[in-house]
Amino acid sequence: MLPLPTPRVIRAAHPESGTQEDPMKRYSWLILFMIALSALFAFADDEAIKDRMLQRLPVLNDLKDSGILGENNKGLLEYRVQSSEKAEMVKAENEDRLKVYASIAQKTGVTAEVVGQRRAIQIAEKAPSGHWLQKPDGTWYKKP
Amino acid sequence: MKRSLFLLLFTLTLAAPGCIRVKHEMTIQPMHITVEIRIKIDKELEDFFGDLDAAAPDTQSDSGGAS
Repeated sequence: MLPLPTPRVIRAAHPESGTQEDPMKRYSWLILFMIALSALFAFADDEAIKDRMLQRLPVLNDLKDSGILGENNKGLLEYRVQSSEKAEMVKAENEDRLKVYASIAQKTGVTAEVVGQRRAIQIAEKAPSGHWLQKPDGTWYKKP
Repeated sequence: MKRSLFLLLFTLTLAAPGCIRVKHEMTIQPMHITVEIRIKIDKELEDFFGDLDAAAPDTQSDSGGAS
């Protein structure tokens, strides 16, 4: 009986083996860096929005106290009377709120409208008495 | 006769589980997801607006005193 030949391991020549670095490894650092950078920008943007909102807060509260402004069921400010008082400020506030709602919507996988509706509920719960609020069915009421 | 009856019963026993349908998941899962997402949204809103909401009563009393 003839002896069987011993198996030999033949290593196939790999085109990327040797001194060449894995391109995935090389780009993963770049991808991570870009993710970190975008997160940093998003955080900075959030903080800038918060600062602007904080600055507007006293004026907008005065308008809400006097019944000129109300909080609608979409989580936005709305004029309760025919007025254009601080219209630019109200517009800017609503735009900033929409940015925040869109950002949260992206994180949670829902629409910005849904986030706005949830915020409207929170606002209604926390609002002081005398502020005008809109119910989900669209009717307005003055918080007792 | 006895053998054919046994075979019939045996076949029915094997075929029966194929007819059973479980509909539990279809109705419970969407509810669970909705509540979970609502909690997530509320938490995100609280994280962002928490400071502003806390600051609101103070600024209101300040501005009330000034006007």
